[in-house]
Parts: sequence; C-alpha cells; structure tokens
Amino acid sequence: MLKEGRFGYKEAISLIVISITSKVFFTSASLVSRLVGTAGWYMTLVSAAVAALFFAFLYLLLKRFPGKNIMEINDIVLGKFAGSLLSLVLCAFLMIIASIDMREFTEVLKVFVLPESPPSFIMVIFIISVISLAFAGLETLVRYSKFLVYLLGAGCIFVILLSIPDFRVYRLFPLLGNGLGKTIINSALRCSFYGEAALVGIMAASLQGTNEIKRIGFYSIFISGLMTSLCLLSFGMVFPYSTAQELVSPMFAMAANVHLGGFLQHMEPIFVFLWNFGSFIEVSALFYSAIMIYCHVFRISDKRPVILPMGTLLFCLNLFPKGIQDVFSAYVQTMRTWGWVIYFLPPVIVLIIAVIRKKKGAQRNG
Amino acid sequence: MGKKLVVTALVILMAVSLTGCFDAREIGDYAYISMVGIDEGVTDELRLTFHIPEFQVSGSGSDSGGGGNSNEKEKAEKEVITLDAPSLLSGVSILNNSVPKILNFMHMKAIIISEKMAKSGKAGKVVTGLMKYRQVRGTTNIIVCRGTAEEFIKAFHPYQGGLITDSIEELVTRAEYTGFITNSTFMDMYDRIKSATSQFLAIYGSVNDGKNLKESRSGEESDPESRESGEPEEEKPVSQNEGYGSGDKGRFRIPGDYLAGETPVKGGPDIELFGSAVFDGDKMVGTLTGFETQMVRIAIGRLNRAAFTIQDPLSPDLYIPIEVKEFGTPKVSIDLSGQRPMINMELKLEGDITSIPSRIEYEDEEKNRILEQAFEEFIKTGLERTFKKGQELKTDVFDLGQVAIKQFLTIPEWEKYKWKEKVLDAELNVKVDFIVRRTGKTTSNKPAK
Repeated sequence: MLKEGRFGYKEAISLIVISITSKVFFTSASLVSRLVGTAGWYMTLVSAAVAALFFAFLYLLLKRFPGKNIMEINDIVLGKFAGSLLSLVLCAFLMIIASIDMREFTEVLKVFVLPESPPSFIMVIFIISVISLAFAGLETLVRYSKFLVYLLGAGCIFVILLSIPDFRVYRLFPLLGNGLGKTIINSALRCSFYGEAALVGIMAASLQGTNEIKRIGFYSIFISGLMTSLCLLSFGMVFPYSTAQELVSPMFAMAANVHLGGFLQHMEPIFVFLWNFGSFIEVSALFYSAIMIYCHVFRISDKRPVILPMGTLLFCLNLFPKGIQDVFSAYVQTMRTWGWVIYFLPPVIVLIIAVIRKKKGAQRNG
Repeated sequence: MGKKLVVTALVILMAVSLTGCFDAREIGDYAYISMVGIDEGVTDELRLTFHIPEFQVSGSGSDSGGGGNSNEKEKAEKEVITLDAPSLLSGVSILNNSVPKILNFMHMKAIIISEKMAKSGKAGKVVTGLMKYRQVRGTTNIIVCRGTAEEFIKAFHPYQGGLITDSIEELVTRAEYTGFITNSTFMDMYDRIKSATSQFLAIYGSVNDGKNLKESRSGEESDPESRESGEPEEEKPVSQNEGYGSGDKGRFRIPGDYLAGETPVKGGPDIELFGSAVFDGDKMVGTLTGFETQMVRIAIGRLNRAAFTIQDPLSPDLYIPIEVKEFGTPKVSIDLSGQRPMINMELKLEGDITSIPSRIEYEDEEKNRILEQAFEEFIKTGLERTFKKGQELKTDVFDLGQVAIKQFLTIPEWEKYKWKEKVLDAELNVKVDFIVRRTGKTTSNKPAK
C-alpha cells in the first residue's frame, strides 16, 4: 500500500514552485504578451498577489480543520455526497490540467526537438515516467522535486544570464502595455497560473501543521512569482511585443538566440532539459493529486490499482486537442483564465459555509 | 521472483525502445546548408541557391569545406545548387531527390537576398515565413546583394582555404572593428519589419570584380584605347559622397563611403560586404554606404572601434587618419510636444591619431583642439547627412523610435502616434564631443627642414 509519508516545507515548496513556473517555458509567455503587451512581467506579480489572497482563504480553511486535507474538509462541511462531488470536480479538473500541460509539452517538443516522432510516442514515454513516479508515492515525488529545483533554477538563471547581451530595455516600453485596465483584469483572472498552490490543500495531511502550510503556500507563490516575472522580464527585453506574442516558446527562442562568440552558441539543449524535468514534475504532481482525491472519494486505501487506469485516462485526455493551435488558443487560454474558479473559489465557499454552519475541526494540542 | 522478472523485462524493453527515437540521426546523415540564396524565379516563384559545403575528414590532405585542392572549381560547382521552386520547403524536397542526405539548416550562417527581390517586398515575405521553420536560427545573417544571390553565393569562397561557415562568421564579426556593415540577423529582420518602433538595415553585399580600381585618375589619360578615341573616360558612378581635398573635389574620398561592389579593390576574395540595405517594412527602399553605416552605428552606440580619415584642418590638401571609439552611450532626447519631433543627440568619442602627413604639431594643446573640432564637425556632418538620407528614404535609420517610445504609456497610444511618419519631419541637433587621447608613438611632430 502506498503511504503519503511526511515531508518538510522545502520539499513541498520545491514541488509547487516547479509545477507553477514550468508553465512559463511554454505558450503561456506569448499568451501574456498578446493580452497585455509589454506589461507581462509585472502583471504576473499582481496575479501572484491575487493568488496569495485566495490562498489565504484556503489556509484559513485548513487552519480551521487542523490535520485534515481539503477532501476531508469538504466532506465535513458539505456532507459526504456534496463534498465528494466537489472533490471529484477538482479531481477531474486536475486530470484535465495535467493532460493539457502534457499535450502542450508534447506539441512544443515536437515543434522544436522531435519533429519526426509521433506525439503518441512522446506521450507514452512521458506517461510511463509519470506512472513510475506515482507508484513511488508522494514523498518520493516531493523529494525528487527538491533535488531538481536547484538544477532547474540554476539552468533557468544560466539561460537568462547568457541572454543578457540581447537585452534591450526599450522593449519594455510602453510600460503600461495594452492599457492599465486590461493589465489589471488579466492579472486578476490569470491568478490561475498560480493555481498549483492549491495542491497544498490536497497534501495537507502530509505537512507539519498549519504554520507549515502557510509558509509553503505563500513562499511558493512568492518564489514562483519572482521566477515567472524574471523570465517574462528577460524575454520581454529580448523580443519586441510584436514578436513575443507570436512565438510558441519565447524562452526557448531566447536560449536558441544565444550567440556569445564562436563557443557559446546553440544553448537550447539546456532549455530542453528544463522543459523535460519541469513538465515531468508538474504533470506528476497534478496526476498524483488527482489520484489522491479519487481514492479519498471512493475510499480506496491502496492507490496502486488506480494508477494504471488513471494513467490510461490521462493518455486519452491528451488526445482531445487537435493540434498546437487548439492547445494554445482554446485549452491553455481557458484554463489559465478561468482555472481559479476550480482551484481557488471552492475553498472560499467552503470556508464561508463552515463559518455559517459553525463547522470546525478538533484543535490539536501544541 | 515475479517482481524481479517484471523489472528485468521492463529494463530490457526500455533499453531497446528508448535508446533512440524516431528523430535519432547520425551526423553523417545530414548535409549542412551554409547559405541560402533567394532570387526571383524564372520557371517558378523563387530561385533558390543552396550552398552545401563538402566537409572532409581533417588530415585528409585538404581543408574541410574549403578550396585549396586542384579541382576547386569543380568542387565549388558541386557545392552550389540552384533550383526554381514555389517555396523553400518545396525546394528542399526537390533537392532531396538528388542529394542523398537530409538537408539541415541548423548551421546556416547567411540568407542572401537579391536586391531585386528585396525591393519588390517578396523577400520580406519569404524570409519572415522562415520563422516557422524550426531549423533556421535567429542568429543567421541577412545579406542583401547586388545582382543575383546565385552569383553572390557562387563567388563566395572561404578565404585561404578555411571553412566557409567560419569565413561568413568572421567577415561579419570583423565589421565590429570597421563599422561598415550592421549586425543584421534573421531575428532582427523578423522583429523590425513588424515593428512600429524600428526599421531593418541589412548587410549589403556584392561581387567585386576589381574593375573599380582605376589605373589613373579621372581626367588623366588612362588606357591606350581611350587615348586613341579621344573621348574622355567615363566616370563610373559611385556613391553620393563628395570627397574632400582643397581645390580638387573628390581627391580624398571619405573612407568607406562606398557601397559593396564599388570599392576600389582588386584581388583577394570575390565578394565584399559594405554598407546597408534600408528596409521600410518588408520592402527595401535604399542603401547606406559604409560611411553612413558607421554613422548609424555611432548614433545607436554600437561602434566598437573604427578608423576615420579627415581633412587636415590646417593643411587642407592633406588628411589625418584617426582611430575612434565611443565612450559612453549616446544621449538622445526627443521633444514630442511640438508639431515636429525635435531630436537632440549628444555623442562622446575618443580617438588616437595614427599619422599626421602634414607634420603639423597637433600634439600642441591649441592645435589639438582645432583637430578635435574638425573631427567633431566631420562626424556631425556625417550624422546629419545620414539622418537626412534616412528621411528621404522614409525611414528612421538611427532607431530613434526606441527612445521616443519611452514617452508613451500604452501600446495603442504609441501606435496611434505613427512615429515612422513623424520622424520624417523631425529635426536633428547633434553635439559631438571628441577628445584626442593618444598621438601614437611620438609626442611631437616637428616639420622637415
């Protein structure tokens, strides 16, 4: 039987930070540029602040029910049926997000690196890895994330440093991008980008108390916000807004443009490394969280029998989008804009209901 | 036991299936294209010329990818392939039927566009279309050439038997120390032809057959044929420079005030890169000479080091060569409050005198200031001339839009202002501050007795 185990805040922060920031390597960055022009680098900081505000509600809810995860809290507050239904919605949503992120990864990999490999070939290999990690359990996943977060961070910073000669500050102007109004609206909506912070609620039982949860959530959002903003700022200085909104992966293009003398050229393999591991962790985290919810709802104590069928389901969901345009303009755009409705809104509603119905968990000593 | 078996089977399966993938290729499977030429097609939309250097095993007796062997001409003919096709991808497909390797653009160093194609605007469309092509790198150089791209590529041989890819790269890199060409990459082109802020300057190239090197000065008898016919020798049209030299207009030309193909050079490589092709959107609208390109580089703060030769202010028949570099980035301010944008540009340059043929003692503080002022005036005139030419071509060659954009808060406001139209009426005020830092190996220069 798989046990979630217990882990520290560094491991959890690593997992959440990788899950959030790896999205910036794909089509999200150009989407932001299309929406707000040159204002993307600070728009994401506002999004992070909005996400932190939503997370505060999740934290208050988890604090009200110490030692419980969000699925247990849903059951307590809403009753078993409604609570399970809400949890299942979140489970389905996480599976969809995982499949979209995975398909996005597959498509971008196919565009830049493996043009001749069939998408299903890439997906199968990817899913085998995700399933293997799922069998190893949550603790292994977070510890692996902690190991990788330094490498990924260093790789990302390295690519940015190498791109400094291509930076042109004027490309950040006009500072307000497509207009302050659009920036504010989009920054509020796109708090969904930081939605993976809500995974803290799912793994709450494995964390060391509510203070840890607070620390993990806010630090994750803060670090992810800074990293995302840094990436957007960098590519905003490398590409003018007219070009940035057209690129499939501006960060990859930025790495490919590195040309420091005859020796430091063709640096994009570093980036492929960041892609692979970042996406792998992100999809694994979402996939495993979905399994946790599913097993909770159907009271399955051993997750192992569920992993393979869920993996098959993930593969099937991957096949829904027609192509990269579908992934980019329909799925990713919709999820990044409205994902907060599923990620962040239910905890707010549940908290309100809990307060109204005076539901409260047992307070722990110490 | 069963678990061990499953794990072993999985490991073997993964070892077999994951050690390679559909895209796995050996380096020898590819033919690497170093240059692509784009001309107007005859039997189809485009005439494409591919330069595919033959790479040989080092130590095989000849330099890889270069000439140097006896059948160099035959080899060069094999390396350059020209065909008509509707698009680049179709051209590659056609070519793949005769070249038994996969054509690869990952190491392509230059895209050569014929002037005719560039002026028609078709090249802009074709080249920017390549942005979707994953193998074409943003760092690939863009060269607009006089004549056809096919001729240009055929004439492009590696210098002294090196690799052709090195030759292209080094030729472009060397320009950092002359300033006669711009840095123009594929990514630049893509960014700028769509931009409301900047316009694109491409490297201008040509085949130079050496005919510009005249045997005698204009007006003097040069060759027996013209002497016999009694007709005055026709002056070959050169770029619009005035030259200088007291009482002898054009005696000393402003160094570098040529376009590619016009320089008085004989021998050496058959091709040269000199000056810039100016684009308005995706259409080429004119050219800048090497000197004017130097002025562009000074104005945008990208002149590492360059040699200038100015008229000796105290002995106008003679000249003074000065090696110049910028210190500090140019300070540009633009006043957009009036009807016309008012541009103020302040430049700081420093230089070393490399020779004083008049032997006037410019090391002396007073005379030194006279020389500095003469050079400041020379640069100021050059900048004004280049800016005016840019306005005549309806372009902002000094990238002043990059400064003006900072005064706007939103993109719609900026695009509504239509900078590219406004800059045509702009007024430029230039202030140059030049300091002579060093005077070569001597500290004084006494006249001959």
